[in-house]
Amino acid sequence: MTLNIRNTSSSDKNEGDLDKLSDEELVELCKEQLPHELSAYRVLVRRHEGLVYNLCMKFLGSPEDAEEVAQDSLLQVFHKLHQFEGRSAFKTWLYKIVHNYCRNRISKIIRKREVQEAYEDHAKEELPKSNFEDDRAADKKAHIHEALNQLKPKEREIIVYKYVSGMTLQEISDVTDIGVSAAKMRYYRALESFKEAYERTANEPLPVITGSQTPS
Amino acid sequence: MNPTESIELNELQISRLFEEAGLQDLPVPNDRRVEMVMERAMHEKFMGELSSFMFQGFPAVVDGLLSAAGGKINHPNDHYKA
Repeated sequence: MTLNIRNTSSSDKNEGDLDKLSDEELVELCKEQLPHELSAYRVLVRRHEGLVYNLCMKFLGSPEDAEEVAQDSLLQVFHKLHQFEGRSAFKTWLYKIVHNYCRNRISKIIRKREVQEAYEDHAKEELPKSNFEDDRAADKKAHIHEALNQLKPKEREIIVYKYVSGMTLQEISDVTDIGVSAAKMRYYRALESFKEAYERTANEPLPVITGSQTPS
Repeated sequence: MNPTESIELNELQISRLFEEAGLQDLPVPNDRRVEMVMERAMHEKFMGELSSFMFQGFPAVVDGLLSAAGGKINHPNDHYKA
């Protein structure tokens, strides 16, 4: 099947074609189209919006702040995509923008307590009551949020990048502008800190790993 | 257990914890939030085009009007069809 990526019509059929393109192909198309045509940009936003919002939520704790910062980050892509040279993956570049916007937002929040309170308020809100399994998952989620809240910001960042966004240490190093060795050391410290914070918060140990899952 | 094994175990445990809490699931895009981003992008596109007109197109329009008012266009002695 030949995809005519130069067709700049914004019909639904064309968006379906654009959905099949990789991030890199969409970025090239956006560079040709922006700012006059937004169809490829829309597909890029749609593809990454959920992840960006989730990341902002984990850093900021407040849905309102997260929505605003997520929007600002995606708008920055609109303005600056022509500067993206493709030396890293688009996702890494996007996460770097999100990282900087979140850091700026956190520093604007005057009292540290406001961030903690946002985390705590949000953790309490996120408790769907449908069945036992959902309750257990919701409890775990709330405890994770509380444990993350107790970490230093840089340790929280690295745990979120690793376990929510699924980034590698190399990608984390690129996004946070620190060397891979420094990222690794920070990560190991963050693991210990998170484990202690979670066990303290949830009053239970981390999940047990059995049999073939344990390191040999 | 040596330190490397201890770190790997911690990683497995934390990964399992996030998985059980549903925090590793791929988030679904939110249509409302996507549309808000697109609205802002279209607004900024419009403002960019307006700025281009104001700084580039508008002076050209004014220049044309002034030329017409000054009689430089359609002068009775011009022989366009000559």
